[in-house]
Amino acid sequence: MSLRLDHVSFAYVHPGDRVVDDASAEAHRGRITAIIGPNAVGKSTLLRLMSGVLAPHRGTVLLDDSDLHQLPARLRAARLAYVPQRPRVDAPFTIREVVELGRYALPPSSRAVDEALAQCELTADAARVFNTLSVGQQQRAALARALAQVHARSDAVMLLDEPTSALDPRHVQQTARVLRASADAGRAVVVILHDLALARSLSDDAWIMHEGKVIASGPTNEVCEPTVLERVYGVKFEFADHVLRASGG
Amino acid sequence: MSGRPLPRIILLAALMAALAIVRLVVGYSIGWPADRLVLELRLVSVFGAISVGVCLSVSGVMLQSLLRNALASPYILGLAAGAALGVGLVQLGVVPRSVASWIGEPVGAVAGSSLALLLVYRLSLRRGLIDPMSMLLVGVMISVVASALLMLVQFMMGRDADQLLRWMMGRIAPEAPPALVIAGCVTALAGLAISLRWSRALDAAALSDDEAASVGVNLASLRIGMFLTAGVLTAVSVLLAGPIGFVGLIAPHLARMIVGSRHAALLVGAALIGAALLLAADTAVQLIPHIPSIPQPRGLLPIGILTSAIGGPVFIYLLRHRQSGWIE
Repeated sequence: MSLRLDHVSFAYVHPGDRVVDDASAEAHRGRITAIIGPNAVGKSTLLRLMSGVLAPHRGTVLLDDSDLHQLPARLRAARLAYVPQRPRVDAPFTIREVVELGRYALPPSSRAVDEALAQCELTADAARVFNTLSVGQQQRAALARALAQVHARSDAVMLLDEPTSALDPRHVQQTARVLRASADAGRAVVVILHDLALARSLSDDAWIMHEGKVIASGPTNEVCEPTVLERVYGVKFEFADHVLRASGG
Repeated sequence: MSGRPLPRIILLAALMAALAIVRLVVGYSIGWPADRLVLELRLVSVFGAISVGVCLSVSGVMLQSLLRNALASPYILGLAAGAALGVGLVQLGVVPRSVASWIGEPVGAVAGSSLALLLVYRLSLRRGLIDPMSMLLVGVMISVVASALLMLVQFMMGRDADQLLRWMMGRIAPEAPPALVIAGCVTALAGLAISLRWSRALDAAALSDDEAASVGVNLASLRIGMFLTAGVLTAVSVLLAGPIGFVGLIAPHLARMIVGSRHAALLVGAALIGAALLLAADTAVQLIPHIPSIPQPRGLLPIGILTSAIGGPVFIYLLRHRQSGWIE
């Protein structure tokens, strides 16, 4: 099982202004894939294409060799969970109610919701209103919703857009453990990360994006190396105590 | 809101039933009507008020969810202004008299609101999907334009504009044809049933568009369905009682405070509160002539004046206390 991009291109307005340009790559089950690249190179758009929210203008997104965008919305929801960088709920729902929404297209399951809340350490806060939470707590609640959505499905894909951007170090580690457990359960996990140290420690594979293209993909320790990163970020990188750091312009 | 909503819904249903009985007792005279004709007139008023209340409040819930805006109400889309303009044009004689006498003012109201509905729908489409913000802005603009045209119609009608002005103030008419009121009841119940079928999708649509789509909501069909249903319900309420302000805005907020925000309970709660508000307002209008110590209006006070006069301050109270948890 895999989620595969086959020469995918997309533009929001003019077909010539491609945000994603001829992207090809593959995310495998049981592995965490990090999408890495500077701001505004099309990472979030690529993730939205992979979630089925956007349809590519050219190319195909394939889920187990089936065209993702030909799948009915409910069938797609049973296989793919998506977590945006800034989750939003326009109603005074509690955390528990938000997590239950992950089961919208699926049979209701208190067990799935309870386990997802516990995994994200939100059980005690389940009755709090989502919109009164900090952004970090909202990110964890959105992760819990995605976990409830893919509960008991080892063939699911989880897509996450910077899920740790507003988290404190303890919850970054906790989120990393949740994602690793998901991959160990057999799921494909694709996550956009700006923290290169976290990307190297967490992910098995990496896709490097530059100007809308996936310019490198493969095992993280092979792909995430200074010469490639210097090309896309425009700054020098070096290893210090086995940690990859930007070292200057 | 904490706790299960069902007991609260039962209480709201009991309140609505009690207000319906009170309305049957209160009229030109106070007491259970001995004359069957009077009883029938009051029954028409009761079912008319319930229909209008349900139509306005259910469409209010749908539009607030659709537009992601706590200030949205059935009239935000310009439907009431369109309906009023349709009636005005019929009364002005723009429609030839022979045709006008055949189609009548109700058809003018439906035609006007339908045209506004079509315009708002067409102009708020973005890449095949209704864009909530565009819909809100287009609705407000169509309302402004229709209101301006209506003022022109009133100016051209001169003294003959009195009947139009009274219609615009809103009224639950006891002399309305029973068949029309029955049709209103059926439409209101059908609208409530349709919206309840979408209640889980409406819950999930509170997420961002991307998240809602990713959990399996078909946003395109949901939005078109909600928009059309809300439009028809609003048009029917205008047809039955003219434009009645604030009920479609207040009832959803009161319901959120009492039964919570999950749409299955919210829709039923708002429908019961909307019906109760209209029954209470219609009863209050009937009671005013029985109070000799206050200045008496010429004829019954239009119900729309009462709902707006009370609804406005109530909404400001909700806004200041933020008890609905949604008014930011």
